[in-house]
Amino acid sequence: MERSFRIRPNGISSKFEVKQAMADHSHSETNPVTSTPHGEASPGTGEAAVRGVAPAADPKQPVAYVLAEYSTPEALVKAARQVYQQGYTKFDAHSPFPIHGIDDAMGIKFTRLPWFTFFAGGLGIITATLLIYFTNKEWYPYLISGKPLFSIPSAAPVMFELMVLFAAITTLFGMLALNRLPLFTHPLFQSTRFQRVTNDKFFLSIDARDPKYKSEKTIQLLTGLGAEYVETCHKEASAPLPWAFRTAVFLGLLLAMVPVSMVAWKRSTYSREPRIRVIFDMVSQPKKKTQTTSTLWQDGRAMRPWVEGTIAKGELKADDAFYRGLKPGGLNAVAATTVSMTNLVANQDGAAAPATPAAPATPPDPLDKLPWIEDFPLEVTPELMKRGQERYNIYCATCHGLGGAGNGLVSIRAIELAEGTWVPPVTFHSEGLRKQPIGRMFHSISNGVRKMPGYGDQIPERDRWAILLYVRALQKSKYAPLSDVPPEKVNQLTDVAP
Amino acid sequence: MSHALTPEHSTTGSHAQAGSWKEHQTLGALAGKIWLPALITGVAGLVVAAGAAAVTGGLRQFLFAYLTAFMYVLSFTLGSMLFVLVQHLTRAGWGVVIRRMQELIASAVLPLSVLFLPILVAVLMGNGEVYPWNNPAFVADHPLVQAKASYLNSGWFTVRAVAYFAIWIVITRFLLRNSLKQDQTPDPSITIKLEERSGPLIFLFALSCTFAAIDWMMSLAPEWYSTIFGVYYFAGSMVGSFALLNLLIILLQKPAGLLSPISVEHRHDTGKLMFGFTCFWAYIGFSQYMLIWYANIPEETLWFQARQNGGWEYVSLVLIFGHFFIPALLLLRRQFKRSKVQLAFVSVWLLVMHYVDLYWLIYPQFAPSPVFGLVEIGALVGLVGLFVAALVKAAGQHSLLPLNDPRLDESLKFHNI
Repeated sequence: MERSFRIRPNGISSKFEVKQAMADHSHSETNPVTSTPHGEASPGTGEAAVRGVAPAADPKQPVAYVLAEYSTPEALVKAARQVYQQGYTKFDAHSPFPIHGIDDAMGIKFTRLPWFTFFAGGLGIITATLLIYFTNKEWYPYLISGKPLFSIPSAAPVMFELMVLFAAITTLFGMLALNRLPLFTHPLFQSTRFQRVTNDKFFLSIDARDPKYKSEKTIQLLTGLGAEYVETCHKEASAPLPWAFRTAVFLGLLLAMVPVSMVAWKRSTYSREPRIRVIFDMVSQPKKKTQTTSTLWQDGRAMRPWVEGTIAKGELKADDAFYRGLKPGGLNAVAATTVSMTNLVANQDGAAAPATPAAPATPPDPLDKLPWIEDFPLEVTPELMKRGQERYNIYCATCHGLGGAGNGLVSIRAIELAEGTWVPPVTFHSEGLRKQPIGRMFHSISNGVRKMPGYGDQIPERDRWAILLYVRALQKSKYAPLSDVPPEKVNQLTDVAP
Repeated sequence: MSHALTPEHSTTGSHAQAGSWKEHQTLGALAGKIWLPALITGVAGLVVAAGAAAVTGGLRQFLFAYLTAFMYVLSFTLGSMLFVLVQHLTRAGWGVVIRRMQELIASAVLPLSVLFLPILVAVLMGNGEVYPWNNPAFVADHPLVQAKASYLNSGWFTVRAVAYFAIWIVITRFLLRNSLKQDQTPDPSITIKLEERSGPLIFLFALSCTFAAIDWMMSLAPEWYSTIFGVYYFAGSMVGSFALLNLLIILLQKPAGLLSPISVEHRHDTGKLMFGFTCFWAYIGFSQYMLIWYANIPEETLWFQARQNGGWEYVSLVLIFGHFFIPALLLLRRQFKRSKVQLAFVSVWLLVMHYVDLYWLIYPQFAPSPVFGLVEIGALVGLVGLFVAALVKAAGQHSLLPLNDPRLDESLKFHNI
């Protein structure tokens, strides 16, 4: 049925070919036997008569293996079972393909390899855990976004990977070690008939070191078990490895020492030379970096200030009202007050801080004298108000509070921590701030005030005005009369504790 | 898996045995003995659940318990369905002897489609207690759910549910019908047809299984999402279906004397698959957890927040150890896969854990603390009873093993190295 049914060409047809090949060979087997020093020990009992026993290669050396040839896997399994039952331990079966049941016939115990794998996997997990624990928690503790320095979930992928790595490597090398591989040569290769083990013949070899081994008796046993042919393989006169191979290994080991010793040398000495770069990555680029020196210019700076009187594209910002909150020509007034727009924050730092009770002693704020605009320099629309509410809730509410009372979550938390360096944000509902010119408040957002940093770099001008519009709405909401509330919403109002 | 066979085995040995076992591989009188008690147990369980729910948690609790139990029994059919398709796609030789069992388990999806009606009817009648997206008051308060309204609405939900069951019924009917046809006529072209069609079918299966898990379980928390959720349910389903398969094989072999050709070698392999999918389940579960844990984004952590508080943290720990570490370490041993008693033990263990897994997926949406009582037990016993009845009905008087599959010989001689 298998031969006629061919939906799996790989598996079925190759098997078929092997069978076919076996059949061909058994018909055309005419190999002459060269010499039979051990004589026809006993007539064959199998399907094919034993043709003889022949020594291969160098007969002066002692026998290392007795090799028996069989033409069917069944004969091999039968012979293997008999040899095992006779008490032999050092013998092996050779076949072109895996034969089911040969393990049982030979009495092979289940391999110990899984235990190697298991413990290597465990070792991998332990190694990964210790590696992560010591590098992340003990030696280089580096806090990232408040995450724990060591935790199982983040270590689990590494544990898994090292478990697989250790287990896989151990399995491979454990398998090689258990099989005593690699092996450069083997006495069985002396036999020319043995070459057909990769094609269509089945062999059983008994090691001469086996305690049960007795030259004549062992050969008799094998021939009695239906071997087509029995021969002896002799110990090889210790053939040294080829000269070229030894030299190559020696040179390879020598070369392997070079990087190691260079690293060791460099690590134990000091040098003023620039470091050697094997690969020129983006680390070294032919350009000057910020905050470095240069001999090209007299002042020695690599960073160049703007050339006097020039303005970069898009940086003109001529509209004083929109960009600075000042009345037209306000910049001249700034020059007159000797207050530079860039150091305003430094000047007034602490001036209005609540920590300084000596209010009358503070010098008058130079900002007060500037010609701030009182009206919005852009069209006020509901969309702008909505935008302002959204931006306010993103940028401002964390400190100033959703209602603008200066009770944002960050501020509450900072006061709880009582670090002593926190300057609480002011409420927007104070008399002073409600009356403050809108231009002055724009300046505060742009450049900061007291501990508050400037938000000019993060919030575009239009959004700053939108935020101010919303702040004005918040301010108005606290002092709005009932008549400002739409009549249909009046009944929704509830008294809220102040 | 194809090893060269020795001529002696492939000709004389197996055919001599073959004739002997092929005669009596049907449930026979056993079917009648199991069917009615299972049906009665099933109906009784549901009645008890409904009665208990009327006293305690009302319709909402009954539907939650019912949904959990339903997803539990459904997962067996889905896991089996997929594995039959995989066997055809990979042209597996070893597993031919277990394939019919899985085909029969999978075809229980037809009666299960009727058992889905209580949930579907509840959704269509506007019940918003189970699926919050069906509750207009909830949707009005949750802009995220409003944004998903075009997907999460009762009409589209129904269309999808019908489509899923249609796909599954078509798949299982196709697989079982052709497999049975081959019992009559040893025609290899049937096998070839099954192999060719399994590719598109497995594609449909993957989509329907993923979306069913998303629709029926993930949408219980409509604001939360996880793209791996469908795979998680699928992974648990595979564990559950192999546990069930192992248990059924062992039960049918020992007391009933059926399925004699399924040898220790086949059970060893289904045990390996159960072991593999147990690890896969943990891998997927951890992948889902770690990304959410690491990103720490509030709307994603919400779902795990509910499962790490109020007593659910203990259920989570039970899952980590009971659904992964303990069974994985046990199944790692060759002996645990080859011994009938030990394999049966781990299978029962995993069947329990699979229910705990689904309970953990679904029930935190019902209550902030674990609730487990008569309603849940009743629903579970009810649906398992009905499922067993459906299974026996599906098996009918069909042979529990394929009789003429071209790879049957290969499967019979399968041997683990």
